[in-house]
Formats: sequence, C-alpha cells, structure tokens
Amino acid sequence: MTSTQFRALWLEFHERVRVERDQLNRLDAAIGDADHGTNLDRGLQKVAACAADTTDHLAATCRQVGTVLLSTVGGASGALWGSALLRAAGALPDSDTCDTAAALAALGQGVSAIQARGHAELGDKTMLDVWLPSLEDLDRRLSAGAACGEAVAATAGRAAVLAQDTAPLQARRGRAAYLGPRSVGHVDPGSVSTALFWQALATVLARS
Amino acid sequence: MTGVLLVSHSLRLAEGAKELVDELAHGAVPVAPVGGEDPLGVSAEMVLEGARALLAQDQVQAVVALGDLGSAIIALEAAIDLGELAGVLWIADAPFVEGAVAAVMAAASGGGPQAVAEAAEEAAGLKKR
Ligand SMILES: [Mg+2]
Repeated sequence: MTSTQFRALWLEFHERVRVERDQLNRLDAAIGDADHGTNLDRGLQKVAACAADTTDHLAATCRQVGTVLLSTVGGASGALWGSALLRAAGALPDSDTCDTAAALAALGQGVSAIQARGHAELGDKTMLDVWLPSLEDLDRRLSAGAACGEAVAATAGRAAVLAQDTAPLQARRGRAAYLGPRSVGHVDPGSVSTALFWQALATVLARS
Repeated sequence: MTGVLLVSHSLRLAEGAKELVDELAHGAVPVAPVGGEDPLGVSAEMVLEGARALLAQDQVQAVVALGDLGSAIIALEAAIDLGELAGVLWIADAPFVEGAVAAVMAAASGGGPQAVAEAAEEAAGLKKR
C-alpha cells in the first residue's frame, strides 16, 4: 500500500459512511442512541480533510488519523477507532509504501487495540464480530495465493455478511448491552460501519 | 492533593455532579466536569483537556476520573494511551454520583489517587435503603 492509497482510503471510507449515515443512525436508534452515523461521519469528515492536506509518510498519516478520531465526540467508536489507528501506526514504516505483510500487521495491531480497549470478545455483538473473522478470512485467502486486491474484495463481501450476522446476537458490550435480550434481532451499527471500511479498502485497492 | 475529573456524555450531568460534591466538600477539592453538549458524547480529547486543567492547578498532583457509562471509560483509557497522562490519571470504575461523592470525600481527607479511586469504586456496594 502507498501513502496515496492510504489517504484515498479515508476519503472513500468517509464517503461511504456519509452515504449510509442515516441508515447507521437508524440501526443505532434500535439498540443505542441513534448517533453512530452522525458521529462517524463527523469524525471522518475531519479525517478526510486532514488526509487531503497531508503529504506525510504512512506511519505519520496513520497517527494523525488516529489522533483526529480520538477527538470525535460521541460514544465509544471514536476512541476505539482512534486507539486502533495509533496502534496500527506502529506497524507501518516511515516511508510512502509498505508491502502486504506490513499492511496486514497494521490491521492486526489495530484490531488488537480495539479488543484490548473495548474488552469485547467474539459474539458480544460489537464491531469485533466483523473485524476478527474478516482478518482470518483475508489471511486464508492470501495464504491460498490470492492476489491482494482480489482477496480484499472477497473479504469485503464476507464482512458485509458478517455485519448482518450480528442480528441474532445478544449484546454483551456497549450501550446495547443495557437492553439485554431486547438487543436480539437488530444488526449492530458498529459492525456495519466496519464492513464499510473493508469495502472502502477494496475499492481503493481496485483503482490501482 | 488529588483532583477529581467527572466525565459524562452530558456536560450538564457532569456539572450537576460537580455542583453536588462541591457543596458536600465545601469546594476544598478541585473537581472538573467534562462532557458533550450538542452533540452529547465523550471523547479522549475532552478528557485530556479536563485533566490538563486540573493538573495545571498548583496543589493537584494526580487526578482520579469517573465516567457515567462504559464509553466514557473507553475515552479515558484512550486518553491515557496518548501518553502525557500516564501515571497521573487514575480511572475509577464507579457509580457516577455516589462514586463522585466518595472520591471527593477521600480526596478532601488527603487521600492519594489510589485511596480516592478505591473509595469511589467501593461506593458501588452502598445501598440507599
Ligand atoms: Mg451511539
């Protein structure tokens, strides 16, 4: 991945979240406080502005994105995404390009940060229900010899299904956990926005 | 002295909690309320600013923070990750109002951050009747 692609990724992710903002709010309204789309859109708008501005290398840009997301006012998602990006930056080089192994390591580090910060596990009806199996899915495809862009595109498709698969789960973390069994039957909004991130990544990789 | 940081999704809720504990402790303990207002919510950035304001006061050496809901704790932990608050900001996993009262009382009697955080957390076991 190049730093140009990395910046494009955040513009693309913001665009997808902007388009889906009302739908993300509706999903959050069912089991939370109806602001997931608005919060993420607002945070990513600042990220996109900063990504459009910078000419920094990969690690520095990733750190900037994380810092901006930590200032996003809202629920847990700003802090979780921010922590993930700050941790991921540590796995990226101080240069304008990185190989697939480094990009995968950065993704893995980011997801570990989300896990550590949110104390959530697989099946708790959080964004980890998309992150963890998607990373495994991507790993498997790459190990089987798929080209990077093809593998990410397939994983993005899988991520969209995984997000919908959060519906039957009972929330054990986050605001939705206060609803107990009443959280069953609703799709987790953080899982849906995570799937949008995978789609943005696939789109940016397909362009080059 | 240990300062107390009150982190709520609603700034007015945090300010109300401060109003209550300030009266109980006669304002002897530095207390800072932070939170969202239009939009409601929390962020690591607002935690950082609130903690900095407390630590800028001469007599404050450490800060114990309480959050109203789980995402406030996540914002607090993320703020510590940024580096400058490591070792000076302590997080109490405590009920917001009762914990704030217990924390301020412990701080008023000269408690250090560990004692203040423990007092706040022990408030989870208090019955109201
Ligand atoms: Mg929300």
